[in-house]
Amino acid sequence: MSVYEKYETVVGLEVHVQLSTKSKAFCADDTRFGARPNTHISAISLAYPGTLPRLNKKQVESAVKLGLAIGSKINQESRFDRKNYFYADLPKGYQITQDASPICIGGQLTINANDAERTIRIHHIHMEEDAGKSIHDMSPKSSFIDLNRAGVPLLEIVTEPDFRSPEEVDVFMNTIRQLVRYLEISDGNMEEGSMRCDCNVSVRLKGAETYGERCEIKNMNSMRFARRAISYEVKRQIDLIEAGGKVQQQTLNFDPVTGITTPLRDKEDAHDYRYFPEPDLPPVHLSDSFINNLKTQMPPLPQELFKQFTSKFSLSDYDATLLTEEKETALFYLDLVKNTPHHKAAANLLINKIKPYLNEQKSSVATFPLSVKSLADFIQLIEDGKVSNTIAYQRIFPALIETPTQTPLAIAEKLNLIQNADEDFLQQLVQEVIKKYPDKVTTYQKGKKGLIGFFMGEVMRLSKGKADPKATNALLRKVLEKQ
Amino acid sequence: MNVDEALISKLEKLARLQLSEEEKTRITSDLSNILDMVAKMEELDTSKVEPLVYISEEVNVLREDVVQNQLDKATALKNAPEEDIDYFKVPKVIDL
Amino acid sequence: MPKHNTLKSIQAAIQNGETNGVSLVDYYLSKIEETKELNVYVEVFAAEAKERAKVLDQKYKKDPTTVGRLYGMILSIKDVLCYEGHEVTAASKILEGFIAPYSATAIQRLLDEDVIIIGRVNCDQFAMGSTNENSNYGPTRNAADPTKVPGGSSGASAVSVQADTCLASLGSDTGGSVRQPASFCGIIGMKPTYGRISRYGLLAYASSFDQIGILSNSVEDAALLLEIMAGADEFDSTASQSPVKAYSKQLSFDKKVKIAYFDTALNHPNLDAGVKEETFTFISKLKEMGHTVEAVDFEYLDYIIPAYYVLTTAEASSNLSRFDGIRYGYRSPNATNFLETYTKSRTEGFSEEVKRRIMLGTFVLSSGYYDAYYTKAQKVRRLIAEKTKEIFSTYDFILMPTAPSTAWDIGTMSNDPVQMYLADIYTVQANMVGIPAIAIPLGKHENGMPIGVQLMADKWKEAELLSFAQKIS
Repeated sequence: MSVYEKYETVVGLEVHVQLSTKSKAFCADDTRFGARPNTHISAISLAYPGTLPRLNKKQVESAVKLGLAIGSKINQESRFDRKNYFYADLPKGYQITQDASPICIGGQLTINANDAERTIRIHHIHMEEDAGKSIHDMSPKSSFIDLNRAGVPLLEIVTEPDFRSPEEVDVFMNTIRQLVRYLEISDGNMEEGSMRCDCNVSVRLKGAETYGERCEIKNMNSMRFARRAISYEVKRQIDLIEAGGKVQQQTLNFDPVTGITTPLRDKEDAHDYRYFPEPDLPPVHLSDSFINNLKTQMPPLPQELFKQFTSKFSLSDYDATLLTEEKETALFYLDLVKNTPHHKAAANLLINKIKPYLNEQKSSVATFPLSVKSLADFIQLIEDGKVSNTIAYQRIFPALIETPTQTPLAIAEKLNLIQNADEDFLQQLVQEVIKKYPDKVTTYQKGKKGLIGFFMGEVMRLSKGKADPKATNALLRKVLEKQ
Repeated sequence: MNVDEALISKLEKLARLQLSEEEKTRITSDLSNILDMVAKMEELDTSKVEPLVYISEEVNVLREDVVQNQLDKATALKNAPEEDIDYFKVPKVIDL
Repeated sequence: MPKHNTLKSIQAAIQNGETNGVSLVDYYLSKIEETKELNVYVEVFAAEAKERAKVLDQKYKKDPTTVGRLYGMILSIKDVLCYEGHEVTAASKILEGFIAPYSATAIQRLLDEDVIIIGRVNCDQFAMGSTNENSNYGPTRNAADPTKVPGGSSGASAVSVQADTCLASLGSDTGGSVRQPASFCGIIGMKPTYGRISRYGLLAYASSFDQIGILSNSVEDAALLLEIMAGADEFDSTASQSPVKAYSKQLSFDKKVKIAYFDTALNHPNLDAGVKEETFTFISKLKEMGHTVEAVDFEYLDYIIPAYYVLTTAEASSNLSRFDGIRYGYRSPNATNFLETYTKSRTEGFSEEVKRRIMLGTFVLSSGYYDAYYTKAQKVRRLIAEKTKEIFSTYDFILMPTAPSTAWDIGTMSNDPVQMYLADIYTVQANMVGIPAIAIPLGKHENGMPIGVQLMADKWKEAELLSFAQKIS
């Protein structure tokens, strides 16, 4: 066994989710991403003298929804604290956060990674505000500060050190992303910075009961980098221990170019944040009715939909995963199967035809022109054998999009696509085909039964797709046997 | 409470101050005296007393999620001691 | 022009045609000029005030029913209040040249009622001090004796009224900064219940202690100003949502009340004999009027200052972190790197008293000391609050001296911070607990300087406090 296999990876996460509220956490500045620098600011976000914070109701609601979604206990009396430190992109010289009494306590998420299930325990979720952006590489002598992001609302999810591999971290982050999109509280977009994580990494010998010393890799904004960073850090720590050294608690930065973690120069004092209760914000007391009201607004969640799709609708894990990736799609599917009993066909239609169509059009389910009733009829047409899958997808579907008020049946009839199972019609075609390929008939009769596919293809071709495949197949077999 | 050079130095770092030698001398002895005065609180038995955190009686002061009251960039940058056309400017930040 | 002590008398004079806005402004401007060695005004808004007066006079002439309730009121504001388009510096170097881009809610409400703001007055830097000597603009002098301090931190606010340069002034009160200078200068000084007036636009010193306060010649003017400024404000989450009473209309007083005073306070070893005597004389007068005045126990008197200085400096150390030379204010020309932008700007920009309090506040919040100091002080605060509430369950008011002595000589208090802090002993209770308090003049000490006395009431009892004060002043 390699020396590395003696050790277990232990990771805990601090995930920062930037909320998609219209205004900031403690003032009414715009939060939209991508604006010109320093255009989403106010006297409050710039920490002008005499200004005070004003708590955004949507931030509180988003926190409660997230807590409900992961099974946290909602802290009905939570409050804010000041975290004091100096940095150019922190205008007040302190961050308003929740230290002593966060809004959600506990919770858990079960993930599936490397073919195994693991339950990740959530320590808590708290509300806080984001800092602005500092740009250090625009000039040799100066740094530049953009405060658009200063004050944007964040939810921080802190997990227990329950992760045992970088893959689990990746799956978890994807799960969180999916969840916050379902709840419509964030777009979970790591590239744009609306989700990032700090990874607390340590190692220990397998079977050990205590945790090793941990290092924190800060501000991972890409899961690819996070996986590499964690892998690197784990190896670094093991190498250090094996060489007789001790892991020191440090804050680290990961450089994706070099692929290594390096300590952020920090002094002891820099981390004395002197937390104390924020005197400018009254506490948040959430009534049962406030929480229950939010409960009624909760959408169905991805994990429960997945279970429903695989058990009630007997879909494969693969199909269920694809359908539950985005809430819009999942809800559309639910709507669709209210109108048709053909669950698998409905799934196929949505996954293989509708989604690709929407991607191509760069549009969404919300603006899709076909009603679920129309789609149900479409599916029924196929199930009834009136048209083949191929004809339906290739000819009827586009025509339906053009004229959505027409029924699929009407379109099929107008385009003369209804499959013909008429014995005489088929007999004529079959005779024509076997007359054309006498050698192949012989080969078939000699035992190469696979040639039925060839004959089927020819009949279908001749009939321009209108021959009913089932009837054609049965007739072909009958006729070929007789020859 | 012993107020020594190390403590003063630590507090200066935390508060981003850099006192002159005379200021340091005076403030060191002042802090010492003040903390002696403050120590009087230890005479009170507060073991069963809850800290008083809020003087305001309000709870749940929440704001609707709408955008308003922004400051225009020109005004904000005009007030800045040093600025660029789009940004606040500071000497290059090296990790502290 | 005779000295006007009330807005009512001014408005009567305006009505009779004896005066108008422009004449009043001219008068006060000449008084400002006359008393300029007292170093009261940091900035006089001469042209602006005259212009505004002209406009208001025209408005009045056209239709007297269209002017606001404060037409004829000329006000000065302490250099810690934001008035849009005007400089506000907290008497510091670090905010030199800073122009406020917005007005404090309280000020806007007064402007909406046609008040005229004649100038910005000096104060102790960032409201930290009890003598108005701790200012970037130098000390302000007491008009009763220019060798003496006016008190602080709203010292110049008090002198501006005392010296008849305006009718009233807005100050700020965190530990007595409105009441103590009011008494040192022989005028009325009032601090409302915490949260009664919005703090938006008041440069923060200690967030859970600060309130805007009113200095005036009359209780009725204080009542009217309070009424107009008070009330909920979406920009201050700690401002009370409770309805505002029409204080100016509820000033009649007929009852006999029960007043408590603390034995420990009135027999305190540091209390000047003359002040003590006047206070007891006043108590006798109250008794003669039929009110009950009794000594009660208050074992916490000597613990208020320690708790106060821990909590206020803690909050201040954090509130002042935003002054970093980056987005506004002073940036040191001596800063050669990023760290020095902070340290040099702040060290050069803040006075020693401010730096002292920042260091103390940083200390009491720091790791390892938080529980022993900050948490301890919060617990002491609760003890004081509960005991005070208990007293108010039996008594209508608490009577206290305002200060242990009359105004000190300039230059004598600045060397001993502890001694200066201890002098706040009578006024900080109201801020610790968040209750309203008013300082009323009591005449002159043997030494010729004004003496005042203080009354405190339970939370939200401004109407009772003001009407009683009106009755007895």
